[in-house]
Amino acid sequence: MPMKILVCISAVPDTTSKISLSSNNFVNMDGLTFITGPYEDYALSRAIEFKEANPESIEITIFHVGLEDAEPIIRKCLALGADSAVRVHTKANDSLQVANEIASYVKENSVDLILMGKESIDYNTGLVHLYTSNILGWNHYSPVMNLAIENDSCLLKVESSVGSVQLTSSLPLVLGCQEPIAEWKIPSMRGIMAARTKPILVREASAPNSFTYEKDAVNEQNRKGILFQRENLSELIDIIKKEVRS
Amino acid sequence: MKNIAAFIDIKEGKPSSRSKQILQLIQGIQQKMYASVAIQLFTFDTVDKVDLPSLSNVKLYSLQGASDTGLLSKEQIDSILTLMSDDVSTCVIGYKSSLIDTILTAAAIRFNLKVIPQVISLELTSDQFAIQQSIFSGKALSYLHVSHLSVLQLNPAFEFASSIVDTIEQHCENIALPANTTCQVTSINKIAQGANLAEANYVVGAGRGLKDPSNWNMIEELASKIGAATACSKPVSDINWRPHSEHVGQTGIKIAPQLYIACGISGAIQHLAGINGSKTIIVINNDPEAPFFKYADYGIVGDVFDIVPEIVKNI
Repeated sequence: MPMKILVCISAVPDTTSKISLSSNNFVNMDGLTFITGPYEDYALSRAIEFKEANPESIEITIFHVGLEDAEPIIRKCLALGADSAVRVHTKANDSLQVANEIASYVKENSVDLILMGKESIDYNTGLVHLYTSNILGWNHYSPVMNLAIENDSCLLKVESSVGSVQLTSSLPLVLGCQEPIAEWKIPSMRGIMAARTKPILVREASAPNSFTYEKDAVNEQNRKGILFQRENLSELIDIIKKEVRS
Repeated sequence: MKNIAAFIDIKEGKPSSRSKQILQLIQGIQQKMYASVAIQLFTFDTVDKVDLPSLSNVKLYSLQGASDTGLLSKEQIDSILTLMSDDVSTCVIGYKSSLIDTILTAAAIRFNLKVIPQVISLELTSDQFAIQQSIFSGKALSYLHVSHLSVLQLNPAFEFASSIVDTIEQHCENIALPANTTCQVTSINKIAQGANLAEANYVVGAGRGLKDPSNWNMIEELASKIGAATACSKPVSDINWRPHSEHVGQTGIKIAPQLYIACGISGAIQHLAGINGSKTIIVINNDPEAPFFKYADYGIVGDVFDIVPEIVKNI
């Protein structure tokens, strides 16, 4: 039996996106370029390195909660080397909802290792992997900076409040990943061709939304924008002194 | 609401400046609506007694047994949740961090509550919290109302405005957590710097404008003079000039200090996503066109090798 890795990905606006509001008072998603969450890119890249080293013994499934407009992003993950994909057909609303969808899939299908980014870069909650591990009762680590697999165990380097901790923990595991776990990959022409025929299974949504947002606002930051010349450096030093004293 | 469980940091016998925001919030809740609510404060710091704002019906626990690795196993989290009252009428509060988040989510699942993520400000209403949530790395805010029985994951820049008048000395009860048996730790590489970057009040950041890792002496000197933590841009940690733990930005640490001094950092949008919670931003760069100047409170166009030593000398 190959080892089954589920890589959960978010589809997020490109990191350089300018955020504006649409007429319904929510962030306007039209016209933004969507990408795979950068942290998920790291997670997927590491999974693909495992598969490249051992093609027969690793099976990678991409998991995404979102509507059909995310399919080009899922297709790109398949082009990078994942075997298949599952898309839960609903709008991702919150972390608990997404985690419940992941857990309900994992309860019906055999999965040994769940990888995702340490957080998505749109809502930055960093909660999906934690909720998933709690619902499934699996052990959990995040943010993981190094990952190796040895038989039924993972060798991890985890960044914690005290520093970086090297440890061994047995499967199954849920991991939130971050750099430098792997280098981002670029799909090859062969990979892109192969991805066209790889399956994307569409699943019906089963988890409810946890809460309802009322409206969004652009967070205007009014910075003072005061520029000093070199000869006035002492004034800037006085400002630093004042800031540090207060 | 019958209980509040909150996670705070204690530095030198006092709550950290971030933790003060939590205590002010709890005081506000007690004053405005739930005078009888029982308060449980948890800290991972080792303390005997602490000067706390005057709250009624408060207990303080020091959790022992996680400080060597900064990680918690399921059993350890369970034992913390067991300390919380089994009454489900609870509100749980803590700042977002990889350690605290593990407890917040476990509490939410155990007590059937929702984690409200990235709370940057809130108002108290008689039956709900009116929440502002930071989204898109601080570029936007989302508004929602949630039940008082919620788990609040606070954004580093969270503030609850009020002024604490009285403080009282609070004794601390030590709680020994069970041993972490779910993993075998092979080595720990401790962070060298004393000031924890994510919680630092002052941060000095530097980028490729420093030209060589050996030039960080002056950055460290400036940081140590004002009691700041040191940070760096992504390119600098990518080429291993500085450790990854110092990388601040979209894919690194998000900081929210009182003062951020950026030296030789151009201000790419990915870096700004990590620092936009800073109260005051000072930018030092030799390129007048550096985008960072548009996001600065104070800027000076000049050579970092001239300006920074001059600041160090005169501060």
